[in-house]
Amino acid sequence: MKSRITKVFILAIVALMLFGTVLTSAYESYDTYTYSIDGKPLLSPAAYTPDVSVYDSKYMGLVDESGQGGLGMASDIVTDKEGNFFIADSVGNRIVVLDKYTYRVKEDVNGNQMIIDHYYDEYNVRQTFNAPTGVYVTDPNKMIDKSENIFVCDTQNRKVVVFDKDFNYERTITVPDDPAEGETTTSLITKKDFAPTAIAVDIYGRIFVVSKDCFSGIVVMSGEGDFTGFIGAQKITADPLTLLWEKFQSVEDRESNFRELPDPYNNIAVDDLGFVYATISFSNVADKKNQLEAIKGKEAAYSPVKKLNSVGKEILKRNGFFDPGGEVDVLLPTEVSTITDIAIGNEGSWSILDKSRSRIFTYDSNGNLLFAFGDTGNQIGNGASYTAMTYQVLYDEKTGKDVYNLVLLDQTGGDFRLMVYHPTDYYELIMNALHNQNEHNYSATIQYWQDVLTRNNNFDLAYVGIGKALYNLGDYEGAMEMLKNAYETEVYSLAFAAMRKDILSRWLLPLIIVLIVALVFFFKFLGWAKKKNKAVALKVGKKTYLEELLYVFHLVFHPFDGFWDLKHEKRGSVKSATTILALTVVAFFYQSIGQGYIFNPRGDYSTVIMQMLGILVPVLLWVISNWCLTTLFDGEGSLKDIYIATCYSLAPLPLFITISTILTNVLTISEQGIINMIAAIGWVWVVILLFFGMVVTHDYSTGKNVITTLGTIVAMCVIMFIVILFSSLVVKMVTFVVSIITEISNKF
Amino acid sequence: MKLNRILSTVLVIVLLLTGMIATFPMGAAAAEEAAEKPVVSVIEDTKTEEEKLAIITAYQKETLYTSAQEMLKADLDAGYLDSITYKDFAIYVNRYTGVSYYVNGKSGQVLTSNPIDSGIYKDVPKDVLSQITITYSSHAKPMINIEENSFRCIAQSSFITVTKGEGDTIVVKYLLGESEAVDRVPDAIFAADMEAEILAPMLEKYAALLESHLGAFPENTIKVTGYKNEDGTSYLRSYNPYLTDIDALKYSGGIHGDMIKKAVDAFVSYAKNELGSKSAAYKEISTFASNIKIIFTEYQLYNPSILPADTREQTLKLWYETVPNMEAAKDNVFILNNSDQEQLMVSYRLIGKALKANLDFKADRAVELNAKTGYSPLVEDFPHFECSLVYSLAEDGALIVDFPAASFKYQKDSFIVKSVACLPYFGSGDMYKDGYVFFPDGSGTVVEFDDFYSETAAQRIQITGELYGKDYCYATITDKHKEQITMPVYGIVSTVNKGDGSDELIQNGYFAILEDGAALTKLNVNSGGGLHKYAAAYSSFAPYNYDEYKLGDVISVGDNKSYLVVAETGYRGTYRTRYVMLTDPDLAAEKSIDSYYASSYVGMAACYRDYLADKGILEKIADVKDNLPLYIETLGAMNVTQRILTFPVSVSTALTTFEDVKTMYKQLSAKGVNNVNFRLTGYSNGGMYFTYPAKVRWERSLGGEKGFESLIAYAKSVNKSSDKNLGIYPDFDFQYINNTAMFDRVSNGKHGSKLVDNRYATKQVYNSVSGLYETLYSVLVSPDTLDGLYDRFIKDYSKYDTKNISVSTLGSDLNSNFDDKNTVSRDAARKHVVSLLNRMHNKNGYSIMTDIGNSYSYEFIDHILNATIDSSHFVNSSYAVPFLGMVLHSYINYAGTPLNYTGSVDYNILHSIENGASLYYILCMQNTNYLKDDETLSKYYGVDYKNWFDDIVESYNTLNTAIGDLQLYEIVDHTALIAERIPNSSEHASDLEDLLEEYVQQVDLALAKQVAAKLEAMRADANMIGKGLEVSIDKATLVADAIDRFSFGAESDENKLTEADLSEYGFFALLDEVITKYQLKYPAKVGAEVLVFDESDISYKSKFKYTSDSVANADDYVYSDYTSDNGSVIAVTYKDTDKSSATYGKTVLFLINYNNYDVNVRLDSSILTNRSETDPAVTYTVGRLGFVRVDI
Repeated sequence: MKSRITKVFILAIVALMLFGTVLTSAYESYDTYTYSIDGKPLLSPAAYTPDVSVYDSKYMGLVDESGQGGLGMASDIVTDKEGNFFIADSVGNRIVVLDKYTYRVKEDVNGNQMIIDHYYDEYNVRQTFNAPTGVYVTDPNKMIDKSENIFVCDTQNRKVVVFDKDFNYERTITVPDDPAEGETTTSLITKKDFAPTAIAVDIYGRIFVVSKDCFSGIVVMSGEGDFTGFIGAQKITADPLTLLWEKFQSVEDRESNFRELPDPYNNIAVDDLGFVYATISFSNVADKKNQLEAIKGKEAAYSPVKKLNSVGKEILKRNGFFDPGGEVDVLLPTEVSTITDIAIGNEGSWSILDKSRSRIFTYDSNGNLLFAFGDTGNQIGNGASYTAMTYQVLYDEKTGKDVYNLVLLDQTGGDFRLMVYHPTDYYELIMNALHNQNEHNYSATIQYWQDVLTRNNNFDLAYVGIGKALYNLGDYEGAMEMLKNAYETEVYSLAFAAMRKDILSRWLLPLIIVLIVALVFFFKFLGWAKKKNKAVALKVGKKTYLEELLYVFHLVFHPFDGFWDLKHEKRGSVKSATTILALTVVAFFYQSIGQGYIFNPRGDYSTVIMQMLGILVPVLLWVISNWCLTTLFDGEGSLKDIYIATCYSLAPLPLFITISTILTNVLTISEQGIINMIAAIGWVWVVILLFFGMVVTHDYSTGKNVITTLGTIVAMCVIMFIVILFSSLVVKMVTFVVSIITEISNKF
Repeated sequence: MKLNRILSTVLVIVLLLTGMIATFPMGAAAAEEAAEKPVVSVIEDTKTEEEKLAIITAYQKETLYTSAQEMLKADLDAGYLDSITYKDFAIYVNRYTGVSYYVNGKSGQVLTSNPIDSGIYKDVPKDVLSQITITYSSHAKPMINIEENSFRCIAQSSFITVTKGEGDTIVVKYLLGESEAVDRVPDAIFAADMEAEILAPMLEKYAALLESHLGAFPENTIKVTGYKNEDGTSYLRSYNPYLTDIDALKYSGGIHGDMIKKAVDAFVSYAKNELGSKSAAYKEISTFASNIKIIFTEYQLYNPSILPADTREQTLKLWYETVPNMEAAKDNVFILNNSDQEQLMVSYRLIGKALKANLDFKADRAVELNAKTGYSPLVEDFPHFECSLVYSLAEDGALIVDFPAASFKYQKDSFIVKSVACLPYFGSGDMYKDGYVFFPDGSGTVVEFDDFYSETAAQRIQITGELYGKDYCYATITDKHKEQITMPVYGIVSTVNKGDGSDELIQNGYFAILEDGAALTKLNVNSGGGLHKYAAAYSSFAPYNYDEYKLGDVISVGDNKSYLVVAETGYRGTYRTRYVMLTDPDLAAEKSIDSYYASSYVGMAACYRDYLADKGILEKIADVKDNLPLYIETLGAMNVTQRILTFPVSVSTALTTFEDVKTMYKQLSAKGVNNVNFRLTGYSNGGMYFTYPAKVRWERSLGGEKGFESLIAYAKSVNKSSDKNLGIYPDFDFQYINNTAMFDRVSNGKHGSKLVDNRYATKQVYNSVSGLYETLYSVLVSPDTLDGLYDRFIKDYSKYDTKNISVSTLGSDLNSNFDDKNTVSRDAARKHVVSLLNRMHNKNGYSIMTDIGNSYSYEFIDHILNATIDSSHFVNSSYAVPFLGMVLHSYINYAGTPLNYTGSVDYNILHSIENGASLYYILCMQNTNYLKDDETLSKYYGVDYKNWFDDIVESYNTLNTAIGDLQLYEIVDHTALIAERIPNSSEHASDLEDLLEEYVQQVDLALAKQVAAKLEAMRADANMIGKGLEVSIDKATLVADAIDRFSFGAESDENKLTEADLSEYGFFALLDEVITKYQLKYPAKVGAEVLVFDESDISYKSKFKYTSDSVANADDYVYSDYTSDNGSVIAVTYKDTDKSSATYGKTVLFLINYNNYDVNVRLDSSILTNRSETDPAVTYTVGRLGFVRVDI
C-alpha cells in the first residue's frame, strides 16, 4: 500500500475528467453583504460558494503540448439554452465552446473540438475573425420565432456574423461603408462607427449592439440587420466653469472647443420582456464623481447601469436605499465601482460585475440590492481581474428547478480561468420569496421571507416583502411592525391610513367632541387674554411677569400697535422675551423627538443643546447685527428693545411647530401638505411680525426697514465668516504644532 | 600537535566505520551495538583555504547524485563529515559546505539539508545550497530588501567552523554578509573627481608603464575604428599614447569611455605584438589595462548632454533626485550599477582590487566623494552576520536543530534583518516526482507538487502564514479571509530513490515541529517557479520585530511617508525545530520496522498526536456522555435607544436572559438533545459592549446575579443525571479593553499595549467594502498585566458555584506589546497566556472553553469553538485535509464555525463528520431585530432561536447518529476516493438510448460481416453454387444480451432492465429494422444455406464507457464517462485505539460525498480492513451531499 493518497490525487490531476464538477464548497474567501440605510455594509450569509477547482486553459483542453493555445483574451462568455459556454477569445480570434458539466472544450457530433476561428460565407469564401469581443446565443424557448442563432461581434472586421446553432454560417450584419472623401452619406451610421463589442438579441429578434467607436448610444437593428436607430445616448459632461465660459463665446469658438466624448457602453444584456440593460464605466474623474452622487442620490443620468425600453427611455426601478450601481461606501469618489458586465438572472434579478474589486452585485427587479460578494486575493473564489460574467442555467432533476450558477472569466498570470460560483440554500430562499412575490402568492411569500430572515435578519428587503404581503392580506398592524424594521414609509403609510380609518370609524364621535371642546377652550382663553391685556393697557407702573407673557396674544394680532406698546409702554421684558425664546427651543426640540414614524422613520433626534444652538445662534446674530446696523442708521431701538421685539415675534412658532409635530403622528405621507402648510403659516407670521417689529422699534419707514433688514442679513454673514475663519485658523495652528511634535517624536 | 593528528586520524576511521554501519545497516546487530549516549565526533580541520574553496566549488558544480545515500557515502569517503550517532540515528555535517544529513540506520533513509542533484542546473540559485538565508535592508533604504544566503558567503571564503557543542551537539558557526576584506569605493563620483583622482593617475601610470616597456611611443600609429560622427559618418581616430585629452571624458558621455577602453586594448595588442604574449611585461600591461576597463564597465555615467530630448526632463529629474548635488555641480557623475546587492558587492570587490593595486586610494576618501555628490549608497555599511546552527539528536532519535537567537550578531544600528530561515531546503522535494507539502493552514492543507510546480512562472511561488494568527500589535495587518495557523508543524512527503543501488522508488519525508520560538515564526512553502524543481517548507523569523509606520496615519497634513520602526529588544531564546523522519510503509515492512510514522499527512498527524500525548499535553476526554455535545452561544444584553413618552432613553435590553437559557435547554432536551454547552456572551459588565472583566457584574436586565446563580444551580441539578449535561460557560474577554468603565481601575495607560510608534494598539477587523483592516477601538491588553487583572476577576468569579469559564480570545489571539518601556515579545506573551491558562485550569480547576485554540492552549482547554476545520483554499494549494481532527479528536471537544452562518448546512454536517467536530450555533431568544441597527452587532445576522429550533434538532440528530458514539475514537485515516456518478434519469435514458443504438449498429455491422464472409465462402465452395442464403436471427438471445449488457451488473432481477424498458428506448424498432432488412434480403427458403446469428456473434467495445468496476483507491482506475475523481468523495476512518476500552480496535469508516449528485463507490479489502483479500469488493451508494457509515 504505497501512499495511495498521493497516487490517487496525481491520477486525479492527470486523468481526463469527463463529468462531475457540480461541487459545493462552504469556504468563502470573501464576505457577502447588503447595505444598511446609512450606506454601511451589513454582513449576510453567503449567497454563492466558489467551486473548489481551478478551470484554466490547460484544464479546458486548449493548451497543446508546447504550452501554446491558451485563451489569449477572453472578452465575453455566454451560455446556450443547455448551459454550454461560448467564450469570445479576441486575441486568439476564435470562439471556444465549453461543455456545461466538464468545462472542457466541447466536441461536436464528429468528435472535433468546437473552437471556431473561421467560416465560409455565402460566396464560399473562407473568412476569419478579427478580434471578436462579443458573442450571443439566442434561446429558442424564449424567441418568438423559436430560432437558435449564434451572434459573433467580429469587432475589427466591423461586422456581426450570424450562425445557426451548429456554427453554420447564416448571414453577416454590417452598416454602409464610409463615404469616400468629398462625398456625403445619408446613413446615420457608417463603418467607422461600427466596431461591435457587445451584442444582445431580444425575443422579437431585434438586435442591440454596443460599438466601441460609437458615442451616440446603443445601435438598434432589425432582425434582418437593418439599422433602425440609436437608444440611450450618454450625457456629455463639462465642468461648470467651461459651461460658463461658453456663454461668452461666439458660435464658431464654441464649436471648436474640445469636448470630452462620453464613454461608450461596455456591455449589454436583454431580458425576457425585451428591455435592454446596459453598463458603462466612466473614465474621467468628473464622471466618476457624478457616478457616486448618482448612486447615493438614485439618479439615472450617471448611473453605471441603465435599463432602456424599446424607444430608449430609462426605466430602471431604483427602489432600494441606493442606486443599483455597485459600491456605495467608497472612501474616495474615484474609487467607485468599475462596472464591466451585466447578466440577467432568475425572478427578475440581475447582477453586475465590478472589475476593480472583483465583486458582484445582485439586485432584484425593483433595484433592491439582494447581496454583494467577491474579493481579490490568492484564495479560490477570489478574482484577479474578471473580464466577463454569465449565468449558467442547469436543470436539476431532483428538485425540478433551474440552478443558476454564476460563471466568470478571470484573467490571472497571462491565462484565463473559469470561476464557478454555486448558489446556496440562502440564495434559493431569496429566489423562492421573489418568485412568490412576483406571482402574488402572499402567504407563501411571507413564509419564504420568514425563512430568509431566519438566515439573515439584517435583510431589509425581507421585512418589506413580508410587510407588503401582510398589507395585501389586510394585516395592517403586522405590516407596520415589519415595515418599521426596514425604515419603509410608503406602504407603511398606506397601512397606517387603513388602520387610522378603522380607528376613526370607531372613535369618530368622541374625537369630534374632544376637538370641539379643545377649540372652545382655546378661544375662551384667547378671549380671557384679550380682556386681561385691555385691563393691563390702562395699568400704570410695572407689569407682572404673567401680564407680560399674556401680551403676546395681543401683539401677534395687532403688530403695529403691539410693538409700539411693547417698546414704549414696556409691556414686555427681557424675562418674558427669554421665556418665549425658551418655549421656541422646547417646541423645536419636541419636533425633533416627537415626529411620527412616517416623517422620521429612523428615529433621528437631536439633543436640547443642539436645538438651543440652532435657535439661539441665529436669533442672537440677528439681534446683534441689527443693532450694529441700526445704530448707524438712526434706529431708535436699543439692543434690549431689539431683543425683546425679536423674541416676541417668534411667538407663533411654538404653537404651530407643536401642532404640526403632533399631526405627524396621525397623518400619512399623502397628507404631508397639511403639515407643511401649518409650519409655513407659522414661519410667514413670524417674518411679518419681525419685519413690522423692527419698523416700529426703530421708527423706520418700510423702505428703510427693507434696506436695514437686508443689511442685517449681510452683517450676519460677515460675522459668521469671521468666526469661521478665526476658528479654522486656530484649528490649523493646533494641528500644525501637534504634527510637528508627532513627527519629531517618531523620527528620533 | 602530533597527538592531535593521530587522534583525528583515529576518529576519522571510527567515523567512517560508524557511518558505514549507520548508513548501510547489516541487520539488527548494528542497532544493538548502538551506544546509550550520543557519540559526537568532530575532527580538526587541516585543509588550506584553497582546498576548502575547491571543495565548495565542486559542491556547487558537481552535486549530481541519484540518492542521498550516494551523496552521503561520497562525503564520508572524502572524510568531510563530522557526526553525532545515537541508537539507530545519526547526524552528519559537512564541515566545508555545511550540508547536513539525518540518517535512520534502521530503514536506511537519509534526509539532507540541501538537494542532492542541484548540479543539473548551470546556475542554481545559491539559496538552494544554503543552510541559512537572511533577508535584510539597511536603515537608510528600509524598503529595499536584500537577500543573503550562507552558500554565497561560504563560497566567498568566509568559511564555516564546526565544533562540538555542549551536551552532545554539533555547532556550525556561520559568518554571513561581507567579509572585512571588501574595500569601500565611491558609489557615486563626479566626473571631475574621477578624472583627477582615479583616471588621470591611473592613465598616467599606464602611460609610464607602456613607456617603460615599449620605449618612446610612435605618435598616430594606432588607429581605432568604428566611431561615428553626429551625422552618422564613420571616422578613424588616432591616439596619443599619453592620452592627454581626457578632458573630453566629461562631455562625451559613454562613448569616450568606450574609446578609452578600446584605446587601452589597442595598446595591449600593440604590446602583444611587440613583446610577445608570454612575456612578463605584456602580462603586466594587460592586467593594468583590465583594471582600467573595469572602471568603465562597473560605473555608469550620468551625462545629461546625451539624453534624448523627449525623455530628458523626466530622466534628469530622476537623476537629480538620486544625486542631489548633481544639478548644482553641473558635472557628470559616475555611479555604480546598484540594482542588485550581490552584483554591487562584486563591483566593490573588482574596483577595490583595481584601485588597491594601482593607487593609494583610501576607503575614507570614497566616503567623502560619496558625500560630495549627496548620493546615498545602497549599502552604507558592510553587513556582517554571525550565527550558528546547533544539531543534536533527541531521546527518540528525532533531529533537533537550534538557532540560538543570542548567538546571532550583526550591526543592528545599520541594518534591519527582516527574516531569517534555517535549513530552508531540508528534505526538499523533487517536483518532477510525486509528493506534496503539508502546510497547517486551518485544518491543514496539502500542496501537491503537480499543482505547485510551474516551469513557466518566472517568480517563485510561495504560500506563507504567520503562526498563531495575527498580531494586532502591528499597525499594518494584511491577511484577509484566511484560516488561522494554530499548529507549529509542517512536513514534506517526496519520492526518492531507495538508495540501495536499485532503481526502486520509495516515499521519503519528514515532519517538523517548532518547539521553541514558534510564536515568532512564519511558515513558508516555496517552489522555485522556473528557477528550479525543488519544493521547500521552512519557518522563518525576524530577530527584532519591525513595523511599518505611516505618517499619514497620524498626521492630516503632508505626505504619507513610511518609516520602518524596529523594536529595541528581541527574543533571546532559541528557535528550535524538531524533525521527525517519516517512513514509507512498504520500506518499513521490508525492514520489519513496526514502530514508525507513515510518509503521509496521516502519519504526520499520528506523529504530532503522539508527540503531544507523550508530553502530557493531550489527555483523553474524561467525562464522555452518550451523545455528542452541542454548542450554543447565546448573546446577553444590548443597549437599545427606546422612546419613552417620545423621549429617547438608552435601555439595557435582554437578547437572551438566564431564564431563556434554561428554557432553551428544557426544549432541546425534550427533543433528545441533552448534552448542551452554552457560552454566554455579553452577560456581564455592560452586555454586548462589555467593559474589562476586572470585576463581574451580571446584567440586571438578564436576571442579575440571582439569575446567574439560579442558572448554575439548575445546571447542577441537570448534571446529576449521568447521561445529561448542561454546561454553562460565561465568556470573558481578557485580551482586549473593549469598553472603558469608571472606577474599575483598568486603563489604557496602565494596561494597554502600544505599537512600535507609541500609539495604542487596537484590534482591527477587515472591512470587505473598503478592503482594509479598520480599528475596532478595542485596545490590546499588555500580556504581562493579564495575571494581575485576573487576580481581581477571580475574586468576584470564584464565589459562584461553577467550574466552567469561557475565555474566547485567550486561545485565539496572541499579541505582543511594543511599548518602549515595557516590551513583551510574542513568545513572552505566549508564556503569559499559558501561565494564565495554567492558573485557571490547574490551580482554580476551571473547565475552559476558547475560540480557535492555538496549540499552546491544548494542555488547558476542554472545548474549542470556531476551530479551524477547513483550510483557506489557496489557489496554489491542492486540497484541505482534517489534520486538526486527526490530532485532536477524542482529546479535546471542538466545533467549527456557527452552523447558522453557513451557506450550506448539509456541507457543514459532512465536514463535521470528516473532521470529527461538533455543531455550534449562535442564538438569541428575543429582540433580535435590534441587532440589525447596531453597526458592530449587525454581524449577528441569523440568530433567532425560535426560527432555528427545528433545524438544530434535525442537524444535531443527523450528526449525533453518525459520530455520537465515536467520541473516544481517534481519526486514523483519511483519503480521497474515485467514485462513479449515478446519472440522473434523463441522462441515463439518453445514454442508454445511445448505447442501444450503438448495439443495434454493431448487430448490423456484425451481420454484414458474417453475411459477406458466408457469401464469400459459398462462392468459393462449388457445392454451394446456386444455393440461396437464409439468415436466421435469434432475436431472443440478442434481447437477453442487451438486457444483460446494459443492466450494468445489477445483481437482483428487479433492478435489471426489462423488455418493456428496451421498447421504451426504441430498441425493438431499431432491431426489427435491421432484422427485417436481412430477412427480406435473405429470406427463409427451403434448401437454403442457413446462417444462424445470435448474441455470441457480437463482440465489440463500446465507445461509451458507461461503467467501471475499479476499486475506489486503485492506482490504475479504469475511467468511465461518469467517473468523479476531483477529491470530493472522501473516506474517513475512526478507530478505537484505547487498549483499556471494551471496543478496542473497532473501526468505523465514513464515505462522504460532497457532490451534488449520488455516487457509487467500490471498496475492497485495502480500505475495508478486517476483511480477507479474497473477499469481493463492495459497492456503496452515497447520496448527494450525504454520507454512509460502515462499521467494520
